[in-house]
Amino acid sequence: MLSPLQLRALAHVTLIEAWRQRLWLVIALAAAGLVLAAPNLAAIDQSAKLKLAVVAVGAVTGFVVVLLALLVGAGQLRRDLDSRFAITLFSKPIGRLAYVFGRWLGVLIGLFAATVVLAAAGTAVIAWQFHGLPAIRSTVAPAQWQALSALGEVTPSPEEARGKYLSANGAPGNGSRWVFTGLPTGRDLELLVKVRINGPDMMEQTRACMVELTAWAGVSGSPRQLELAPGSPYGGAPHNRELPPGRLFLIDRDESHRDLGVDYCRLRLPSSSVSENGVSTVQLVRLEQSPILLLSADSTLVARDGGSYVLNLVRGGLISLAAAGLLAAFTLLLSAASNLGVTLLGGLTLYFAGNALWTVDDSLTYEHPSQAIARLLSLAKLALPDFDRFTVSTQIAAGHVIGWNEVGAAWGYYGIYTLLFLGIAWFALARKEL
Amino acid sequence: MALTEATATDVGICAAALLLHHAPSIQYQRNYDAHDCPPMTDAAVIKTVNLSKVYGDFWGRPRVRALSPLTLDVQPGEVFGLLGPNGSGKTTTIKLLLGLIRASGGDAFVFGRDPGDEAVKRRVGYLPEETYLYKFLNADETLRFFGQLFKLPASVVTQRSAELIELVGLGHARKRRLGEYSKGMARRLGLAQALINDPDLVVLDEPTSGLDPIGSAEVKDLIVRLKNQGKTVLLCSHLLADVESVCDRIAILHQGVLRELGRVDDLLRDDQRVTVELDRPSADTVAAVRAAAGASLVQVAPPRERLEAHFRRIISRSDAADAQR
Repeated sequence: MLSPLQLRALAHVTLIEAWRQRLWLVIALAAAGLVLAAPNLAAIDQSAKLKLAVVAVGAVTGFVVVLLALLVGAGQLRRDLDSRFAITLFSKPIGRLAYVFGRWLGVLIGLFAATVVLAAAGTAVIAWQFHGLPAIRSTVAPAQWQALSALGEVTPSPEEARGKYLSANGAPGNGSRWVFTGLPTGRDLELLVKVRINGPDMMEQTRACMVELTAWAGVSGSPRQLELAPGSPYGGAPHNRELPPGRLFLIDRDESHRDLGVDYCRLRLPSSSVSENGVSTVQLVRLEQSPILLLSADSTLVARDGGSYVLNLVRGGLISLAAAGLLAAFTLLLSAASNLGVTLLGGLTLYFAGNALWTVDDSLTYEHPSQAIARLLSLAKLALPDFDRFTVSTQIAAGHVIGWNEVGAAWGYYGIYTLLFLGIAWFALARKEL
Repeated sequence: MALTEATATDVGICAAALLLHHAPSIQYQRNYDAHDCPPMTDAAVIKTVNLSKVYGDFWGRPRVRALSPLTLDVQPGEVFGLLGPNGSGKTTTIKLLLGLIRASGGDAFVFGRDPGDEAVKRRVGYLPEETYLYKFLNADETLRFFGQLFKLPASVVTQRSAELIELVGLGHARKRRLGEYSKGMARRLGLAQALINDPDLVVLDEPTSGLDPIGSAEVKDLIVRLKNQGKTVLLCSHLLADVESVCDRIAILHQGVLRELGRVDDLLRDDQRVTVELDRPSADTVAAVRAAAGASLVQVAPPRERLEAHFRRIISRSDAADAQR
């Protein structure tokens, strides 16, 4: 049985050990590095600088937490076995499962503390340098996507069209419609729009297009022209020219542009454009002949306030912690069976392999490997934990809210591996004669 | 060898008699047929029946026979000595009795149950041959840690830690990290951790190793005190004088085989000789004794004080002088 008192004792002793080995210096140095580096970040403009700062905080926190997971996790069990402390320990009424779990818990608490310290330092630096914290938005994707012809015909896009582009070219007046469901009612929302724009041929570099955006409540209502939201990064006419009401200029933004604050044109979606049951239809009409709009299901999003940046960071930290906890469990497992060097190397290997699973995907898709290699790669993909599955740092940098459901999903996904590794560590230790 | 056989037979008879007349106070988990019946009393704190251990290699093939079938018992309140040269199977026996390794054959019972049972471990205190403790903790933290492993309430741990630290003479160094302790100090703390749960059975593997003569004497005093409190002590030592002075019974192992088992007094008694001690005898008295003894006289000489007692007296006198200054 796992006794809370015993788990606490083991976790506590793990933390004391890490502290007295001065591992906190790693955290302190990383935090100091963040504070010193933040004012010297070089970027095109203030918003890019902010984005860079957020990414830097995420990257440094992630790196330090992984490093600590390896260093602290790898040493624990091996030191106890090598120093023969395990003989004294297991003569006491403590099971080996409680020992493994208590040690892991201690590492996890240490990693959590490191995450909190670094995230707090990073947040403080961002708030100090940029006089505030980035806005976080929660988004709703459209439930339906329809193509609109220049003659006003509406063609529902099939389900498989998701992820593909609809090319709107030729005579102006064509475009697309998106139907949103499940929107909050009674308050104004934000509509985010991002499209790819090409010229009529490869030689012509047209990267902007005037469009009209309207919205109405429900599926068939009276259209209402949408206005640019204050602070929208683009959408107005170039060179401060006047635009007729309801018109705006979109500029080319491809898939690599994901920042909700910088890469999307932001419009105000009034509460009157949302029906009582939370349905709203948004229509985009192309108003120029030469630019070609590449529209997709994800060209529009409805956004609302995603809550506090700090809370978002906490949720992101919990996801990172789940991954680091897995890594710590793996190093505990290795240290139950092998020496410190092998443990560290094994932990690093798992981490790098788990971060490079996309290359396995690429190999399977583009390189047409032999059947045997393909099976081996598929097996590796299935067996290895994907450390790139939850893109916390990118999401935070892009101003996306990280939901509790994602936190739950991350703990569920990494938790299975963690339990498996802890279980094997326990088994290895239980078989070991002291 | 003859002695061992006689002892085993005697114990077997005792056990049979007890089986007939006494209801067992401890329910053993396994039953034995007539041939396997453990030849011992029913209330033994430790009981081994044909307990053996063979260490294997990575593939499980037998490599070293560390312990040949061992059958013995340790009774409540007894100080039992396990003697033998290096590699004789003492530590293996202790590890088997603590559930740290698995037996290759036979059975071991502690308080009538499997040694690996947590309920058993809660009643056992163990001081290993070498003091293996966390060097980054101090004495207080170490004892608190072990107290928590025994799930003792915080108030009990605090009180017992303070008492034990004083008992082993580490009051002045309780806040120092163990990394700064001398070997003897670490040994004393090791002894304290073995007693943190107020155990009914104390297993001490070379308890005086690394201690100065004063420390060794204190440990022996402590063992006697534990015995007086009704605790059972299993003592494993190379220092035969230590064992002789505190143990009730001993078992001698050699090459993993039990060579001798019995009461210290019985084993060491020499019925063929008699010692006569006289307090300040006159020359006439000595001459009369010589004459009376005749040819059987071996030696007439003043008794020698033991070096340990002499050393302790010198140190005590020096301490007293320092205190007066």
